[in-house]
Amino acid sequence: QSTVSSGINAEYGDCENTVKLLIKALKDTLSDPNISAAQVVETTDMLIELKVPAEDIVTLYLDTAHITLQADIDSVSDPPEDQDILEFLDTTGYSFLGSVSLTISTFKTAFCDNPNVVIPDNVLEERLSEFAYLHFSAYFEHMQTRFTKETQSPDNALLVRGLDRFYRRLQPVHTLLPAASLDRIASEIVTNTIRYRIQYFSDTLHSHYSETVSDVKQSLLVSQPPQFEGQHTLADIMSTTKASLVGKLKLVLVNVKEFINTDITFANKPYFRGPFCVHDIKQGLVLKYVEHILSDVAEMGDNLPPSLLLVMARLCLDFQTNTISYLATLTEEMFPPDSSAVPELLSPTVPELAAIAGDTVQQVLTKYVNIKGLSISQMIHTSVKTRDWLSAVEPRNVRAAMKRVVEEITDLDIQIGALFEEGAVRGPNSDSSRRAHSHNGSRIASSKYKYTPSDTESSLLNKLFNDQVEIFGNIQFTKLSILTGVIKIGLKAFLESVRLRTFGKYGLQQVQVDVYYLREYLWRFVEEERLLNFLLEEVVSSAVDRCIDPVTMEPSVIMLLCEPS
Amino acid sequence: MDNLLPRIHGIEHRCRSLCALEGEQEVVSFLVGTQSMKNDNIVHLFELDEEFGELIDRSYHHNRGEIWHIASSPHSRDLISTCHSHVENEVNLVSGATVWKLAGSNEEPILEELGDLTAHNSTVRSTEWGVEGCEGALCSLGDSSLVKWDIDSDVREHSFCDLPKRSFPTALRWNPHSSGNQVGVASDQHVRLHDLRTMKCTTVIDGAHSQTVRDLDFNPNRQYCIATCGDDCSTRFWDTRNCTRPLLTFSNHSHWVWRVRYNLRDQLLLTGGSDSKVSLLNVPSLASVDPVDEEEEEEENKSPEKEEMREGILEEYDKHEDSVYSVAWSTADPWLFASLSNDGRLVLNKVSKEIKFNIIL
Repeated sequence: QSTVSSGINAEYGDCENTVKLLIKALKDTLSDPNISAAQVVETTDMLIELKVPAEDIVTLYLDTAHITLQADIDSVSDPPEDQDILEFLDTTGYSFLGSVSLTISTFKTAFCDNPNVVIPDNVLEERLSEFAYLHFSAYFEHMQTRFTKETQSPDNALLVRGLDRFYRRLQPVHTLLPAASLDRIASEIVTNTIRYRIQYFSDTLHSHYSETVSDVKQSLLVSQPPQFEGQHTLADIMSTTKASLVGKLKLVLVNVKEFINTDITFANKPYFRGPFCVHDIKQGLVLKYVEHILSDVAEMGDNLPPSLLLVMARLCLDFQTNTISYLATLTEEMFPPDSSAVPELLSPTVPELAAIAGDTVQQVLTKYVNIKGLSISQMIHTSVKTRDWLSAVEPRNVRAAMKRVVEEITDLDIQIGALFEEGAVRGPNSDSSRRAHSHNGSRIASSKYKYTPSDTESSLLNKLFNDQVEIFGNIQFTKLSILTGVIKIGLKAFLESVRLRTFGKYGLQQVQVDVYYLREYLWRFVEEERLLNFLLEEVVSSAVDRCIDPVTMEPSVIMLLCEPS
Repeated sequence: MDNLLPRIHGIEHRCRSLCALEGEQEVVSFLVGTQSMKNDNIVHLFELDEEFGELIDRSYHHNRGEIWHIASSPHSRDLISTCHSHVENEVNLVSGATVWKLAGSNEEPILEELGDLTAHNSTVRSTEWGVEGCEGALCSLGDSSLVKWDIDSDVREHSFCDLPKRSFPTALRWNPHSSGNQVGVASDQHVRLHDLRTMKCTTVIDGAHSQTVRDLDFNPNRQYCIATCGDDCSTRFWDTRNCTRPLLTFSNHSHWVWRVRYNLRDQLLLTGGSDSKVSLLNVPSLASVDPVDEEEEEEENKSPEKEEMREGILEEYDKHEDSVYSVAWSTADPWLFASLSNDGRLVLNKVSKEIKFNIIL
């Protein structure tokens, strides 16, 4: 009896061993990553018959699959240097997708759809999703890195096709396993990449702008001795600059449009139909570009050639009047947002930018007027400061400094006139009054100044008659206004300089001659002749005040001395 | 009293010289010198009765001609100095500077000449009396030289140095932190600091302004900090230890800035320009920290309504119709100031209550 039981025991022991060996062999089979799906099913079924717990089989399978997938991910993380994005997607990018698709479908066949496996469906799905998600996370991270690198490349078409191919190839895998939300993550990668690309374009635009301004500055510095060939040069420079800046933007927009071509799969998503067009393109690219230009111009200082300030002021004026709205309209035409997806309006809006542009023109023109005004002031002040006015001889002609002032203003007239409209003459100055002035030599040389009842009285009387002419005010965007601003500053300097000196009889008369000359040649450059007269009369009356023997010159003699020789 | 300001007074001649009566701490007093080539010139001593608003004008005959600059001694309320000129024989412009004593009676004020300051110079542009640590000292600045004087019962030259040829000096200021040993000189576009013990120039701010510098002033509470202003229409601040670039620049006038003066609360400054404006500047970033403020902050007692006043122009006073050549703070009332324009208009005004409380609290 003992021999029978021990015999049975021995046989049982042998059976156990055999079973163990069998299970081990089956597990080894399952650990082979290269077996077919059918083999997996078969092996699984056999293992289940041998009472191996289903969970362990699932774990073993997934662990095996992990090895392959990890290898694929590793090669994705370290692609060969010379591959372009499409080659990359077709090789290393693709193998992972293939492996994971196979894993998922095999898993489904072997476990989910297998009646022998008694694990509930939701548990299986969860395990699969978790597994897929883990691997896809790593995969996506590397894909994002690769795409981000690609955003810095000049080949836009390639990037677009690459993104499209990536997104398109992911769709079948997503369909296999919707619970893993692969589509959502893929969309994020696409969106992030496009955003980086737009930033790249934005940077390109901004550096193009800087280069353009730099070029303009160079060409203005080179032709600095004011030998501009006629009126065209500054205007040409301005329109070339504007065309270059606008043209570059258009080029960029064409490139960006490739992302939402009709044959691009992700372009149909609601994001690209609405927020992308308004937020990323119109605000984030186009209007931001305009803002950048405007703020750069506003910062321009007096270390730059003044003619550059003039050109940029005109550019900003064009921006204010039509360029900004033109660019906004163009953008809307190229990137029409879906009426269903209208995101909230962002700042700055087109009208806000136009207002900023207007302010920028004002700031820049004011700087320009100050620079030119001070330069003229310097000319005048130096000439008054150094001359001996007390023991001067009888004047024979107009002082050279005055002629230089007129020459300089005439030059400015040409330069400014090339860029800005003329502007309107203000005040009761018709041609008839002008003619009258030049014939009887103006009030300036009248006998009124033979004596002054009291110093302050005459000046107050002047002011009463002239009813408080405003000397310093805002500049209009016209040639006359700008020139008037420059002239005002220069004449005020003349006045201040005269008040610091002491004049003899002939010194005073020289001032009369100079003032007459300035009036003759500057009246056509000012907006309001009344203002010019006021300032010039102040100059003469200050000279009279500071004169020890105020005997004025005859108007006819003054006119004679001012005749061009 | 505050509603009686601004107080406007018309002087009968052109003027450009104004200073506070520095030696007077109780009554608001200002000196104004006239600039007339044809009539007699007068030094006006204006005293303001703050309670009743009465402005008393005492006129001292100045028999040396028109007055280009006026200064008063901080140590002695009856000593003043003027820079003047007159024409002799129709062709000679005779310039000079003189120390005077305000003498005589209230009914008959007389200027007593104490001494002549013209030595070494053909033209004297400015004179300044020594501040703390150098009572009785005075400096004169002319086209050729900078001269130091000792003043008590008479006027004695102490030392001098020659200035660079062909320079046009415009302003002179004593450094209050130097124990009386340093003055600042503005000339053309530069500012130079001179050590009065050696009379040599120790520091230069080259090209402080792109055009002529018209005035400078030392921060009364902080060493090494000065303000300058000039024909480039700007007001600038400098650290004299590093003069390569200004600490701050303000374009608070649309034409030449003739005067810049610190208030004792050194975050406030006044400037006057030929755009007829007087401008009150707030520069807290370069101001000294008031030891009183520090204590209060520790007590966490800061008034919640106090808004930080922004840096820049606080107020623009437009009471003048002609170029403002001089502004001065009163030595009796630290919030009161005077401004003077070419047409003889003297305006007395005060910093507004809002600003005053914002600073004190």
